[in-house]
Amino acid sequence: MRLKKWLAGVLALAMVASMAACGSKGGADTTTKADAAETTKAEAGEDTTAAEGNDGEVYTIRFFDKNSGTRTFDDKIALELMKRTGVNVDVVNPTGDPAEKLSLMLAAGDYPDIVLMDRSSDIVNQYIEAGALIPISDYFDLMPHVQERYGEVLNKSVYSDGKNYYLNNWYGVDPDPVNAFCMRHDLMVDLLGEERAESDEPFTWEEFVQLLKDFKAKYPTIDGAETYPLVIGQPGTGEINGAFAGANGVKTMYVDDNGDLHFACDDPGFKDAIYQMNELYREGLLDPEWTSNASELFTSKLSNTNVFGFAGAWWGAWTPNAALDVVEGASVVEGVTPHYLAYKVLGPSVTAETTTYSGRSTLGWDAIGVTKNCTNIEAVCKFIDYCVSEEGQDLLLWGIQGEDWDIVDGVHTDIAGVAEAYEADPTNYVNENGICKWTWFVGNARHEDGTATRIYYNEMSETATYAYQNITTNAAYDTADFAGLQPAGQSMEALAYQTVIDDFDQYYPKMVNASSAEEVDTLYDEMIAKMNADGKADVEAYMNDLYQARMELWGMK
Amino acid sequence: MAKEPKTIAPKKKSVWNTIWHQRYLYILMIPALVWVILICYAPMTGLYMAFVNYKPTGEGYFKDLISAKFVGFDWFKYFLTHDFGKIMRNTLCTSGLTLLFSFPMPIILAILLNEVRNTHVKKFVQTASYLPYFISWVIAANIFMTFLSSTGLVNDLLKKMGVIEESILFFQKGPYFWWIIAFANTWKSMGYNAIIYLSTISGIDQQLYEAADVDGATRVQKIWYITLPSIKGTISILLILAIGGILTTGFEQQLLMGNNSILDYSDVLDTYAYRYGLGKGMYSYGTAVGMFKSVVSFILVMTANKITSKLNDSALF
Amino acid sequence: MAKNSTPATIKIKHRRTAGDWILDVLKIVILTFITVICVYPFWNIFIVSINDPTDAARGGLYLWPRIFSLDSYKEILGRATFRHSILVTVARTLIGTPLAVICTAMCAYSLARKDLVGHKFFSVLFVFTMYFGGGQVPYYMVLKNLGLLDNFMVFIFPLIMSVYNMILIRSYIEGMPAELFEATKIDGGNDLIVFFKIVIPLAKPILMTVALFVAIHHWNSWFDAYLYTSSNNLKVMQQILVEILNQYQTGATTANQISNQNSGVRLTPDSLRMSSTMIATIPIILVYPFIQKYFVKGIMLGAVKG
Repeated sequence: MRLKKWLAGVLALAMVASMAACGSKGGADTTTKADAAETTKAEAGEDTTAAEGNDGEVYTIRFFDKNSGTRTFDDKIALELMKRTGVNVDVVNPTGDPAEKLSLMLAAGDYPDIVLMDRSSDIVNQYIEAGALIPISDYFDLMPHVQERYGEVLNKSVYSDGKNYYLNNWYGVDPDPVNAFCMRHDLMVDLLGEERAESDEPFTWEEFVQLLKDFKAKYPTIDGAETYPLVIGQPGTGEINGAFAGANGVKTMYVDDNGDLHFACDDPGFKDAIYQMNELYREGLLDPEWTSNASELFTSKLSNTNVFGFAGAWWGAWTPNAALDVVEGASVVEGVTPHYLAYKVLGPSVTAETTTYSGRSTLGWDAIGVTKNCTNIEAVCKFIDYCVSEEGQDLLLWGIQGEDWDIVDGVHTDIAGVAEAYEADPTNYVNENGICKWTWFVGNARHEDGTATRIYYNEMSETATYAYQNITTNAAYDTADFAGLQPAGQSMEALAYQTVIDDFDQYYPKMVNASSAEEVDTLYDEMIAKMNADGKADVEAYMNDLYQARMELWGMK
Repeated sequence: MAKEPKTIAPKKKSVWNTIWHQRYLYILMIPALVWVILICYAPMTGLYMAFVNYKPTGEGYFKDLISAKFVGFDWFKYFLTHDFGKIMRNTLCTSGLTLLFSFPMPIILAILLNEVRNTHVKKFVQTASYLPYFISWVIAANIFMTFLSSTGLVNDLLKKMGVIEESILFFQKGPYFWWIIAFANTWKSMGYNAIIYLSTISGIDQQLYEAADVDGATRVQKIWYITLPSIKGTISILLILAIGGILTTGFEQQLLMGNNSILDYSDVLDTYAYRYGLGKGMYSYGTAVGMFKSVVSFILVMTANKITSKLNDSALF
Repeated sequence: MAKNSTPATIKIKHRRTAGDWILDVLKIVILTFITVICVYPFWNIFIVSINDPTDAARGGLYLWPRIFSLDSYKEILGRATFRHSILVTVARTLIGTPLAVICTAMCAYSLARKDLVGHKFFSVLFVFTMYFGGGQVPYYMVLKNLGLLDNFMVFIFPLIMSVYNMILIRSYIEGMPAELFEATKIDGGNDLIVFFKIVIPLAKPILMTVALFVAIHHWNSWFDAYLYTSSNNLKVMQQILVEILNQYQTGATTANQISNQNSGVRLTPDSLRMSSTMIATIPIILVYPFIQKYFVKGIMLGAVKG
């Protein structure tokens, strides 16, 4: 029997394999390290003597970048960066949930030299508490550019022991808009006239509701489909829709008159936001299916002609706008694009100055830390210092001077048509060319000549122009005050925190979908009672302590 | 076991003699034993996490585990006193409904496929039924949500057929969700599980059917008296395993298709453990919830096994 | 077990009874329904994958693509990392599958022998692991101590056995007539000979089924590669597909969305997801008929016996 011979062979193989697996138990660590070293050698194309830890000349920095996707560190910018800093870099990509891999690496003590993680997540504190990150502030002498460029940000990022354990990514003041009420431009022109549709004057809540009603009355159906005046996306965790929060001055947390910290649901503006959403729901102006509008469904609804507007982050309009462009006759007004453009609406208790549409953190989105697994701290410091410096940032975000850009008349200028090539095919171009592919230690401040830190800056489209024009002014607040206050892992407070958030997540859609304003009140009281029973006060006390200490540290009290 | 094993060796021989006699059987088990010890039992030290307050400190996993503060059943207590009833109800309803459909469907499918005379049709339908298994939950959830949305295909069809006037908002009512999940699970796994029954059916001695033909049996009778009894063993084994898995609902489909307005109905043990688990860094609590599930599942599987082994001679042990 | 259930009724005429008619109707209705609900979504995925990505975002694609485009396929297949990852996946499938089938079958045969001393102990030993596990952290530590981290063997060794598959094979073997084993023993054969000469050929349908399950598991795996390896040359196909998707996906958190916005990502993940499903599934569908024949067609027990 042929089969038998084949199976016998496989059997022998199996035995050998399982023996081999057991046999290598002793020499585990050496195998892994040797393998890893081999890999990096292969990747960097260096000869075999190059990357051998301390004894060789070239140190290999292993860098976990949660934002790196499938990107490989082999483009011209990467090669140039390695050449200029004298180290090899081996980027470790995430595949699934980065938090999961980070947790596992932490528990096993298996983290690479540098980790880039989500700054607002409590994983950062877990890394610091576990002693996995070295206090980078001890090495600031080796990194002159860091103190010079980060400035105040460093003081705000210190850990409770007064030391810095990470450097921020996308740090500094950043007035970019986030949330907005985005309405179809052509329909706005049709309903309100060109002048009002194009002004940056905010709408009052009553005007806005009237606008939605007028739309519904004038267009009960479009292209044979029932119309939706306002669509919003699926609720996130522990927060209400950002545009409604923004219109009512609600921040991620609420600070009362005494300066004490509470969950956002204690904010008086919070209830206004709920009343408003409930009103829209009852009047049939809100998509009744909003709670199940996952991102694909949400985008696909907006990409059809029967929706007037949506409330959420303004860049949610990109894909639908592009899709609507290719639909024949989508626009109801000739010469006006059927694009969703950003508008500002004011809730009853706010003025145009106290809206909170754009929660941006001056402390950035990511934290980049050096771990204690790093064996050549000098090399890493040198690498970081170079990346942080203006020259390094220009290399990463503008490209090679003299090739991609140059200073023309004292101003950073694109000399190789980089921006156009990028517009034509953003993803592939970035991958091949390497500019803006590695976004590390990025600051939001502009160059002294007024140009942006990135060679591609998206202020050119109509969609972006409106967002910047209508939302930027007086709508931003710094989320850094509240970030990372939640109780870290493994404690009763952390369990209680999650339970309280669960309570909130359950009641929020119920309140919006309530059949009357009185029912909203009943549900709200029920929610607060349930949250209290699950330990809201304890969690708030815990977070408030941290918050007060932070305010004192930052000298804001 | 209900039946005494038929010992090949005479009774006077000692148990060691029997073992020596069966040495080749043990040799055959060696790779599996190595595997089960290294891959399954070695990591079980981690179960101890459920009783301590485990925190990684950078000292290494085993040191951390030993030096962690012992908390006894505190994690279990928290779990049993917070939303436990609701989560168990959802888990049992979801998986109970799933079991109701996803258990018999593969059997029916396999038997019906076996009745198809045309080999091409048979192969085509069989392949087709297996296709959903390859569609990841992310895509499957997207398809379900699009088709079942207020303007989706299903509502369109129902309206055209005059069954309903207003769109049904499938994802806004809790109990609907259990049915959707049950249907989705069945749809996805039916073809996969049918293969097991098909291969068992194909192992039935064709002479039995030929003999039945000679006796003039109808096709229904052949199914009833030959096919079903022949796959009875597989059915009971899979049923025992399915009962043991009743607390396992999976979390991807729940997370992707569920939404906060029906969280009261969609939150099951697996999603709960996921939310509080590794991603949050609550190792001990996640382990405690997982361990609760393991204990209950194991008790269920032992009980189911006991009952089935009383009823017929095929059982797990 | 199968033998003692020969029909008791003997005198029945050769004609279609009412039962047969109902059976035929049920057969056609149920199988048609199943075919439609299983094939149609797949067709839908296919047409979205060959539709222009931006246009596909509008939804409403039911039967045919609106604007034909192969952009998303180009995006995936054009990557050098993707081509290398296919090799890794093929390697782990080709090496891992036969090993797993043979190891699982060997264990299944031993446990199918109810006269085995310690039968119950071993059965419980294996079944216990279906319900109890230590969690990811300790598992990771064990792999680390075995030297399997960042090692190709991490794809093979943990999958050489599966208790579920073992139980499937075992219950199939238990259904085989015991006389077959006895006869060989009397002829002087030992358990190894019984296993290779009798059990393996007769259990071909279930072995092929398990081979299919294991192969597909290998083919679709990416989580083990993600958590337990970090070298780029060990990346598997599905891992690259997931990474490409993540890159295009606007994340759940605001922070994610903004960092995506900052890195200029603005394409829809929909089409990519569909085309990656097609890319991952089409090879399986092509290979499938070669395995399918083993469990779709019945075997003649008598032929082997003689």
